[in-house]
Amino acid sequence: MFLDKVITPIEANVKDWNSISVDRYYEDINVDVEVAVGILDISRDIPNTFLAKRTYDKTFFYVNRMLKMKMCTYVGFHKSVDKILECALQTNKKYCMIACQGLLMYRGPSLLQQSIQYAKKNPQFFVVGHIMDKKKQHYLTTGSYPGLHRQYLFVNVQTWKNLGKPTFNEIGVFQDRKPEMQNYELSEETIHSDYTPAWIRKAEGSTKYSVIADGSNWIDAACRNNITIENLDNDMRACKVFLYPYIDSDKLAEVWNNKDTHKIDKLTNQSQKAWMRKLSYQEEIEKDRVYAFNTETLSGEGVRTDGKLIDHLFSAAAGFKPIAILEANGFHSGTTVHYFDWCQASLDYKKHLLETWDGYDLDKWLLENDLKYNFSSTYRGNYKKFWEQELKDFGGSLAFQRLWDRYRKLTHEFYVIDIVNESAKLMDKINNVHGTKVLWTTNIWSSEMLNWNVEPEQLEKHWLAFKDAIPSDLVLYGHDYMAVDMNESVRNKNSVKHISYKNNWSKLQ
Amino acid sequence: MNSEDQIKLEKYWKENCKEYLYKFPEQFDPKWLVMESGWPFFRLSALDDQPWKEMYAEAESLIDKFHVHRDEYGKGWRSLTLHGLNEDTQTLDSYGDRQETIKQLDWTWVAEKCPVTKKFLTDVWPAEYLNRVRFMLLEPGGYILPHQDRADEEKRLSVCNISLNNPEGCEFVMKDQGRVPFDDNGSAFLMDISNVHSVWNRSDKPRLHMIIHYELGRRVRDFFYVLRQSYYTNRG
Repeated sequence: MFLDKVITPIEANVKDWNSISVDRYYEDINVDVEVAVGILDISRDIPNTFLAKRTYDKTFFYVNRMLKMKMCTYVGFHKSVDKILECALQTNKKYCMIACQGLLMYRGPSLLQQSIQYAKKNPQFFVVGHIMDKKKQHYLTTGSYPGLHRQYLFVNVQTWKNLGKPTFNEIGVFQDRKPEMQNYELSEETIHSDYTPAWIRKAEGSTKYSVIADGSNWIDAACRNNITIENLDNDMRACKVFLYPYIDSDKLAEVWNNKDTHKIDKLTNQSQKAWMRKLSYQEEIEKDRVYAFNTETLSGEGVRTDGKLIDHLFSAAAGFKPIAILEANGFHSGTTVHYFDWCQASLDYKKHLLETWDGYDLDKWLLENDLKYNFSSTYRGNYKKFWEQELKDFGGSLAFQRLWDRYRKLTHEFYVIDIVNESAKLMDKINNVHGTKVLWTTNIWSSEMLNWNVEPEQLEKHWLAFKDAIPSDLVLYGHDYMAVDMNESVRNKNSVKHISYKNNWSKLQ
Repeated sequence: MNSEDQIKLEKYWKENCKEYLYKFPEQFDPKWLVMESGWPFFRLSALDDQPWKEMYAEAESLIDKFHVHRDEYGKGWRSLTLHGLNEDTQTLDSYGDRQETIKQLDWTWVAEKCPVTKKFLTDVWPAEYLNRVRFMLLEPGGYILPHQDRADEEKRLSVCNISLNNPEGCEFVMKDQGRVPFDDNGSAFLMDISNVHSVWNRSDKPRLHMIIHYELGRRVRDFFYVLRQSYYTNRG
């Protein structure tokens, strides 16, 4: 049944590495009891102030998604790993995920789930992170003891405590006071480059080093205590991207909003380049992108009209969620469906589908019209699989077809409206009709591209203007700008505010 | 001043007292700046707002405690050690086993009399370890003849020289490079002391500087941060 919460194991989901949208079936995975998440503040190392702020904003954006799914508890934006871990200890969390400013965990829920699975299999582990043996690659770490890249660390808080809460040391250079480090053994197997061993463990003896890397002392502490540290595997790595905001900062800032492909190509860091190319492509295709299915994290669900049939449904032109809302709350032959979208193609698709599709075998209809519309790559090529999932949600093919027949006969209106920048237009339409009115905005307010292009403080202003204009009798579905169900944030006053960036590095200590 | 020194200094000043012109690359690269730029000195502008005047007052209050320094090639040059072996610490390599010497380094009584200066060194100065830190006094009319503290092949910016004051008429000049533009209101410079250099205080006021020898340790990124802030300020 569609309204049942669907939690499908990761393996059952279709992986779409080309898409930056999250998987839909992670809604309400409740693993909050164990994990703290904190953002490591590296603003000191980011020359461009715009980029420092925006990389924090985006890292927080992805963390917030996990918070909203009740997967973890946020312990703040701090200048040191130690401070984040202390906060995790104070909140009695078993594990702590440390995400560096500039880390985009676009599949954060999956990363967290994999990390927890690892923890359960290895209860004595200390840390999972990017083991770096870059002694030959980087001038600052030539001859260095191996380290842990600060972009992502998943820490067993109890082990950290048992080891005496070692500070996560930064890169160091020494002339007179070279630290003595435990000798180590590296796996022959590497993850993706010769500087990323699969694991590191103790070897006999110790050696003095004149250069150490980030987290070298954690590796030393682990080795001294016979703890093996493992690297992130490729599945974990595929859940995130790090923007290295301290490299080519001005150049990255320049292409952040204006995604000029020629300028993107001049970025020297491959992660930055690949991500910005992907965003540039995404922005281009979203101009006429059509969503045949709802692949975003599902908005709040349930019956919300207190038993009254829906007279007017105002809906984003995406997927089958509007039909599900109509079915859940009930509707009648005089119900009107008002579709709005900023994209004409989405409205054209809806009209076309209503006019020509009989409610059977959507996958075949989509294949026939595959070249006519710019369908999301998430399900392009997987229509059958997604359609089968949809049918399962609706209770089978027959049940859906009957519903579709009733739905087709309703009055359908179509409006090109950008609800973020033109919310008054939508409110005018809503205020001009009477009866039981329902609005579904899907994840428009909390969508990835919107949050990339608009600063959260600015978006908050737009959202508040929208929120203030919502009539009191309008039933709400969809997310607010913080990905909180609008019913919760607007009607039940359980809103969450974006935690704005603050530069804590005006003084070095 | 004897006439021989006078002639030597005047000739040196005539040949070398000029403005040094920087060429700033578009991208900031800390390693290049310190190791490869060939820059003889570099102002740490990020530290411009430090309480130099208060530090000056602390040093000046101890002016009768300073010890004569290297009088074999200068006159009126004195020092007082804040961090070292004692209040009159010489170069660390002059005490035998350097490792043993390093272990004995500590604050001297001078630091306890100079809380503002000590706070700067512990809380602001971006290095994990301090080696020798001294106030340096050059009396009115005093001078330090041209000399070199490091071999030619060891070119790099290293030691930090801070002007707590720098009265008009007192100049620090590097051979073939130019005059270090120390500020009378306080200024910090990284110096490449492999360059031949000389100081001449032709004012009627004592000149008080502080020299910091340090080891970065685990504060490389803090140091780079100060360098970067300074780089963009200096570049304008």
